[in-house]
Amino acid sequence: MRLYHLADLHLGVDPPGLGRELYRRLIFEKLTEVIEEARREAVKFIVFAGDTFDSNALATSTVLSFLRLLAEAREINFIFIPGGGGDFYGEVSGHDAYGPDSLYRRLEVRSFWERAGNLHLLTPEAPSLVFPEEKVAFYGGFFDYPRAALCEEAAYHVAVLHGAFGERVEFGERPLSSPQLARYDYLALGHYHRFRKIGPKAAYAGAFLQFEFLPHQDATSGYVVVELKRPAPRLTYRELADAPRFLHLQVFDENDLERLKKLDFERTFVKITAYLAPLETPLLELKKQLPDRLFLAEGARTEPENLTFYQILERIIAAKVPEHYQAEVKELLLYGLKISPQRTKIEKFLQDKYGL
Amino acid sequence: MRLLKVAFRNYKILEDRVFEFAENPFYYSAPNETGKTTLIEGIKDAFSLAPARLKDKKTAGKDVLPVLEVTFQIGEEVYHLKINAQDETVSLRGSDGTDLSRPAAIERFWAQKGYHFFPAVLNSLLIIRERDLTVEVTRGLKALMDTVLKSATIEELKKTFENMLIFQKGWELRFRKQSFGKKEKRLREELAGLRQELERKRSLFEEYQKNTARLEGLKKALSAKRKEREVLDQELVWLQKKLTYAEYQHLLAEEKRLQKESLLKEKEVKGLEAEIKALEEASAQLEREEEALSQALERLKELEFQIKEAERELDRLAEQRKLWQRLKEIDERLGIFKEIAPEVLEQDLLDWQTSRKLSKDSQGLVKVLAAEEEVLVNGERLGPGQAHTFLGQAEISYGPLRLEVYVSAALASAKEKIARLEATYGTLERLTELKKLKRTRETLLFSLKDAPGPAEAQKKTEELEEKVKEAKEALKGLLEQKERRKALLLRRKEIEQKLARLRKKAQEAALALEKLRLNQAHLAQRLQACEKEIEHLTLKETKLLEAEGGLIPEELRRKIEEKRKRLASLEQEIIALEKEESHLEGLTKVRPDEEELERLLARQKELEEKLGRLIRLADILHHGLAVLNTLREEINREYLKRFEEKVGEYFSLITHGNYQGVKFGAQSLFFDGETFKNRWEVTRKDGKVFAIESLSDGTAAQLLLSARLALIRLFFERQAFLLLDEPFAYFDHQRTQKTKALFEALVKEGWQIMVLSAKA
Repeated sequence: MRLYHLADLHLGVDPPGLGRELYRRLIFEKLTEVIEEARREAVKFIVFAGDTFDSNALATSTVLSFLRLLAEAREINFIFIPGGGGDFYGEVSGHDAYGPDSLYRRLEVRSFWERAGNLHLLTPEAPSLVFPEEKVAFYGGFFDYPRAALCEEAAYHVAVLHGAFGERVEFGERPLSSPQLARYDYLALGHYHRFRKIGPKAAYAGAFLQFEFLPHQDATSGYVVVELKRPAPRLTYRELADAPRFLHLQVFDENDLERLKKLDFERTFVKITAYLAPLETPLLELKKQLPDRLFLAEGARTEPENLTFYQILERIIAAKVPEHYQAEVKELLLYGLKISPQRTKIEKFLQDKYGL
Repeated sequence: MRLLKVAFRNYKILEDRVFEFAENPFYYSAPNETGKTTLIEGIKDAFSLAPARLKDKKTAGKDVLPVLEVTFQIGEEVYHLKINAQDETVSLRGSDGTDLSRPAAIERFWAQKGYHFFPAVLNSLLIIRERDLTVEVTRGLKALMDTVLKSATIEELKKTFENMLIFQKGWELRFRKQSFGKKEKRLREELAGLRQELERKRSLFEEYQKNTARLEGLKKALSAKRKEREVLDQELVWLQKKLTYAEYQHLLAEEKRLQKESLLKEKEVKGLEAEIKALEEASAQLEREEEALSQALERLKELEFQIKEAERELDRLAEQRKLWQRLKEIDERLGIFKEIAPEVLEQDLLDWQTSRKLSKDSQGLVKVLAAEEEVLVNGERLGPGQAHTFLGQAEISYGPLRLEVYVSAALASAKEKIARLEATYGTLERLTELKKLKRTRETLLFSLKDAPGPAEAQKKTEELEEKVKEAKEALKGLLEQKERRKALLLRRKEIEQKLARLRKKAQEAALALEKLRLNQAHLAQRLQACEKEIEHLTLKETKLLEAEGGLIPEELRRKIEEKRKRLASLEQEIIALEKEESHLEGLTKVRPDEEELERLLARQKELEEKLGRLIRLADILHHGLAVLNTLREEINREYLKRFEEKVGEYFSLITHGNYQGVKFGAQSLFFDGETFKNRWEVTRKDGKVFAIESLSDGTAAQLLLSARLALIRLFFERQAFLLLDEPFAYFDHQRTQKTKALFEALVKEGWQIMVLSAKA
C-alpha cells in the first residue's frame, strides 16, 4: 500500500520575492505533477497534514479552484486535516485551523466537499476514516495524538497529525512515545517546514513548496512517498525539481562569497543573516545585481572583532530557540546589540520588519 | 598606528609647540611644569574629536582659542587630524585621499582601520601614568569592556524587551501599552469588528446562496407541480367524459327500470283498490246485521231487570219466612210465659236482682265466745274465741241446735221473695232469658206486622220462582244473540282495520307511482341533457369507453372527487410555491457583493497576518530574552579565555619565554584594579606555578604590562602607540633598564613607545 504524504502547502502565503500569485500558480503546477505521478504509480491516497491553506480568510474562489483540481482526480482519495498553530489558535485564524470561522466550514466549500466524493476531511467531530476495500484507516490528531479507536476492519492504520512533535519538550513539542508509534503503521506529520524523520514510522513532510527562508540544507520542497508495510514503512522523500528555494546564508569568507555567487538565482532567494564587514563591498555589489533575490538581514554586518561574539550568539540561539524562530531571533539580537538597544529604535526596526 | 607629530597652538602652556616622535622608543625628558602632562592631555583632546573641549584650555593671557594638529601613520599612509576650537571644526586628511570633517566619519575611519573603540582605548589603556605599569582599571575601561562584551547593551536590550512585553499569564495583550500594546489592542479590536462584519456579510451571502438554491429547487418543484396539474386536468376531463358516458348508460338502464317499476306499481294500485271495495261491501253487510241484533237486544235488558226484581222479592220472602220460623222457636221456648206481660217479667227480675244484691252487700260476724263443742257456722268449725264472717245469712249448728241468722230483717223478706220467684221461674238466669226472648218476640212481631203469613209467603215464593225460571230461559236466547253480535262487531273491526291498511298501502302505492312518474320525467330530462354531452364524445372516445366497459358512475365520481381534491390541494401548493418563488426572487434579486466579501476576507487576512506577526514577534522577543539571559555570561567566559591566552603570549614574549602560561582568577573582565593586580597565576617554563605576589616587582610589572597590551589587542586589530608618563618614577636603575629592554622588545613587535619623564 503506497500513499503520498504532503503538508504545509500554505496556499495564499506571500513568499518574499516570489509573491502570492506566482506561489499559487507554482502550487497548482506542482500538485498537478504529483497527481500525475500518483496516477502513474496507482496511488490511491494523498494525505495533506495540515496548513494546506495559509489563512482562514483566504478567498473562497482560491479554495474552490484548489479543491476542483483535486476533485478532478476522482480515482485518488485526498485526506485532509486542518492545521493552524497552537499558539495562534483563538486569536487569529491560525492558517486553516478548524475554528469557528474556518474556511472548511464555509457553505460553498462544504457543499463542494460533499459533492466531490474523493475529498475527506478529518476533524475533531469526525476524527477517523476507513476505506474497507483498501483496508486502510486514517486517524486525525489535532495538536495531539489521535483519540479515535482503531478500526478493526483496516489492515493499515495511518495517523495524520498537525502540531509540534519531537523530543524538544522545552519548545513545547509533544514526544511521540513508543506506544503511539506502535499503534499506527505511519504517522504523517505537518507543521514544521522541513522534511524530518522523527522515528522509523513518523515524519514531517515539510513545506510542499518552500516559501520562507530556511537554513541552506533544509530548503527543499517535496513530499514523502510512504510504502506501508510491517514492521516499519519505507519512507522516501521526493524532492520537487525546479522548486523555489529560500536560503538563510552567512558570508564569512571568500569561499562563502563564491558559493553565493554560484547559486541558481532563477529559483533561489537568499537572505544573508551575517557577513564579515570586509566582504561588504562585493556583497553589496551582488545585491545590486539581484535586488529581488538577495536580502540582507538587519545587523548582518559583522565586524571581525565581533566574530567571536557572533559565533557565541549563534551557538546560544541554536541551543535555546526553536528552529523556526532562530533566524528572526538572531536578526533581532544582532540589530539590538550592534545597532541600538534603544527602545524607540528597536520598536521602529520591529515595526518595519514585521510590517506593523 | 604610529604618532609622528603633535602641534599645539594656544593650548595651555603649549602656546606654539610641536612634538615630533621620530624615534621609537621615544624618550622625552623635561622638568616638571614644562608641558609633559599637557602633551598627553592634548593628544587625548585631539582624539576626542570635540573642539568644544578646548575652549577653556586657552593659553593663559591669550584670547585666541586653541588648535591641535596630530600627524600619525597607519601602514604606509600618513594622516593629519586637526581640532580647531576657533571655528569648532575637526578634520582628518590623509595621503590616501582621506578627507573627513565629521567626528562620526572619523570614528568609523578608525574602526575601519582596525582601531575599534578609539579614543576610549586611548584614554583607558594607551596612556600609562606614573608610579608603575600596574593598571588601575578605571570606569572608562569598564565602559570599554562593555563595548566589547556588550554587557550593558545586553542588559539594556533585555530591559528594552522586558519593557515591551507583558509577562502576566492570561493577559489579553502580549505587549505593553507603551510599545506595541496600543497597536495590538487596536488590531484585535479592528479584527473583532471585521470578523463580525464578515460574519454578517457571509451570513447574508450564505443566505443568498441558500435562497438561490432553494429558488432553483422550488422552480423545479413548481414545474413538477404544474406538470402534475396539467396531467390531473387531462385525467379529470377524461374521467368526466367517462362519467358522462357511464351516467348516460346508467340513465338508460334506470329509465327501463323505472318503466317496469311503474307498470308494476299501477297494477298494485289497481289490485288494492279492488280489494278495498270488496271489504267495504262486507263491512256494510255486517253493519246491517249488527243493527238488527242491537234491536233484539233491547228486550234483554228489560228481562234482566225483571229477573233481578223477582229475585230481590224472593229474597225478601225468604227473610220473612225465616222470621216466622224464629218467632215460632221463641214461642216454643217461652212456653207458658208466652202471654205474660213483659213488664211483669221485668219487675220480677228487678226484685230478684235487688234481693240478691242486698244479701251480698250485708256482712255479718259470728264469734264463738264459749262452747263446749265445736260450733259449725256455714259448715266451718269454730272453737271458742274463733270468728266467722258471712254475707246476708248464716247457718249455725251447735250440737242439736240449728240456727239461721240474718244480718237484717229485710234480708229475711228478700229471701222469701227469691224463694217465690225461684218457684215461678226457676232461676234468675231463666228469668233473664225469658225477659230477652219476650223482647225479641215483640221485635219480630213488629217486623212481621205487614208481612204475609208464612203460608202466603211460601205461595208467593213459588210463584215468583216460576216466573224467574221462565225469564232466565228467555234471557239465555238473548245472550246467545249478544254473543253473535259481539262476533259480528269483531269481524267488522277486523275488516275495517284491514281496510285502513289497504287504503294506506293504496295511498303509498299511488304516491310511489306518482314519484316513479316524476322520476321518469326527471330521468327523461337528464337523459336529454346527457345526450347533449354524449354528442361531444368523439367516435374514438366512444369506442374506447365502450371497450373499457364496466364503468360505475359512483366510482368514477369518487375518483373525480379525489382528483379534484388533489387538484385543489395542488392549486394551493402551487399558489404557496409561487408565493415563495416570488418571495425568493425578491430575496435573490440583488446578488450580494462578493467582491466586498472577498475584500473583507483579504482585509481579515491582512489583519490576521499582522496580528500573527505581532504574536510571532512576542515569541521572538521572549526567545530573544532567553538568549540574552545567558549571552552575557557566555561572551564574558569566551573573552576571558581569549584575554588569558593573549596575556600569556605577551608575557612569554616579554620574559623571553621564561613564562609559558597565565591564569587570571577573575570570573569576569569587569574587574576592578585590585582584582587586576592580585588574581594572576603564572606558569614558569619549568611548569612551576606562581601567584603574582610571589613574583619579583619587575616580573609582576611585566605581567601587568602584558595584560594591558592584551586588553588593547582585545579592541585593536593591530599595534598602536603607548604613552607612558613617568614610568620610571619609582624604579631603580636596574629595574629602569629592564623596563627599557621591555620597551625595545615591544617596539620590535610593532608597538610605538613614547616615554615622558622629568628624569633625563
